[in-house]
Amino acid sequence: MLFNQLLLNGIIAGSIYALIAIGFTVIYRTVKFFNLAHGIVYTAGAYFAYTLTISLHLNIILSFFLSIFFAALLGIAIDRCVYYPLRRKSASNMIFLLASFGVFIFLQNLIQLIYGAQILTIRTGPVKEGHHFLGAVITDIQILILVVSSLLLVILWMFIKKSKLGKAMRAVSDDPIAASVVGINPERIIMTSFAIGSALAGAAGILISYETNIEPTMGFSAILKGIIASIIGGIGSIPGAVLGAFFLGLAENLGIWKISAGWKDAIAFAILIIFLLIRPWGFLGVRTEKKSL
Amino acid sequence: MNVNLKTNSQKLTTILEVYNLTVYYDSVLALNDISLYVNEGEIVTMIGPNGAGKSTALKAICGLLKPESGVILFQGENINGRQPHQLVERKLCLVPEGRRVFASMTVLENLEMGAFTINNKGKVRDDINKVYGLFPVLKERRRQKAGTLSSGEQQMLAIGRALMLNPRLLLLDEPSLGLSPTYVDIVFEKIKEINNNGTTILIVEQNARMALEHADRGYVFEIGKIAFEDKAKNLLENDEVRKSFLGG
Repeated sequence: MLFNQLLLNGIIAGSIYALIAIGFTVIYRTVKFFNLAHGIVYTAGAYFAYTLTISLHLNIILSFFLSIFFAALLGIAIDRCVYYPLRRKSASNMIFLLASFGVFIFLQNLIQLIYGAQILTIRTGPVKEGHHFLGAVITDIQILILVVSSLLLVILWMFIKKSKLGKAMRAVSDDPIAASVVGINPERIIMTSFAIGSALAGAAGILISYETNIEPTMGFSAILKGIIASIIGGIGSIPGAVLGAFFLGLAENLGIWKISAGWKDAIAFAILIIFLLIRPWGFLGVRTEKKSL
Repeated sequence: MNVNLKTNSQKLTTILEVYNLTVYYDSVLALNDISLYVNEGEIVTMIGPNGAGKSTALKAICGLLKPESGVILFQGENINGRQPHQLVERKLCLVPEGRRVFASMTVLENLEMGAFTINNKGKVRDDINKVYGLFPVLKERRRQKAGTLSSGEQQMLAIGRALMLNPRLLLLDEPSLGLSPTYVDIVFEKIKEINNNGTTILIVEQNARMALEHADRGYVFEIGKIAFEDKAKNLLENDEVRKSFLGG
């Protein structure tokens, strides 16, 4: 039952992409630029987990939550140290994009300097055989990935829909000027967005570190997939990011049913290009009219 | 006739004083050394042609634009250079030009966001009901996304949202812009009602006649300067003002 296995793999990949894409979207909605440094927060999440679990021998659950916390702090630190000074100078979105790429490269090299370029692994002991389920095999770790990512998605959705701070985040996303005239401090909302978005990216990195090896360059393809998922879902839409992520995960994995697995990334980019040409506002995005003077 | 009976019987208290305000907008001199004041309980309007600086003055007062120089005293405190969210805490609130409701959020959520700085849930509920009392249509449409409302309804929502903060001074930027004549009448009626309930109001308005008919005093702006200031009824009768701004 190769198809069922690929379907399952697609869903698991999709749930990791969803965490990255939602984190990316939460940040994008308030700051309105592509935060490429989001990818390095994902990498950092994995390395935090590695350090706490392997080097410091902490309990795995404690290290999971601590790593998420550190990922959130890293996101806030990147914003305060790099983006905040740029905001004060009213820098253009292109400057922010370049700065975020600079942060990405800088931190990737820093991780490489500290941990070395070789792959590391958190897994200890032999690989356990997975459970058989409808002709597919699923490991304990993969079940964990599905459960934790769905939980995080539900928690985030409730937070955005119901809590006062979540509503304020939507208000800033809709109209930052209107938000400031009702008394919402935009800086506070930006900080919250970086904390939440980075926590989600960190969580994705931590979960993936339980499943596969980690290396300093792992964040690059992660952020590309996160961005592709966000774009095909409709940039700025949180349900769109989830939809785009699962669509991308499934397309990549089902696509290699008939062709070689080496084409996975090519499939992702082909989908991106098709969307950009035919439906640039994605599944759930708002079709924006070109503003006339 | 809009004779100001409210303030004649008591000593006037000035709520807003602006002295020698100079503002650059996109590095162009938009306001050149203007001064104005608003007394408690008044409706004051700033009128004048497009680009005369009236909207710039309002934006500088509420903290959306940073003035080059000048003093802005709100209840005696210099607020020049404060951020809008800091002024909200002092009960100085703006209904921005173009309404700027939170389009993807429901009417009710918009009103809740208006009360973002207020933590007393019971008070927020009461205030929402007060706004519904003033604008019943908002209650009917409370579950509707604000972006789907008509311009007139959005204007009511924008005003309602600002009222959630219980402002001492309410600034309105072009409240009649883009509204049908029926809604223009309704909006000005409601502004009058809000004023009668004790809120001081400063309006920037293109519809000069409408604004002057409802205001106590007015300032007429011309190329970054104040050309005339007087009681609203005097401005309505002023030949020069009539010729230039009221269509003769």
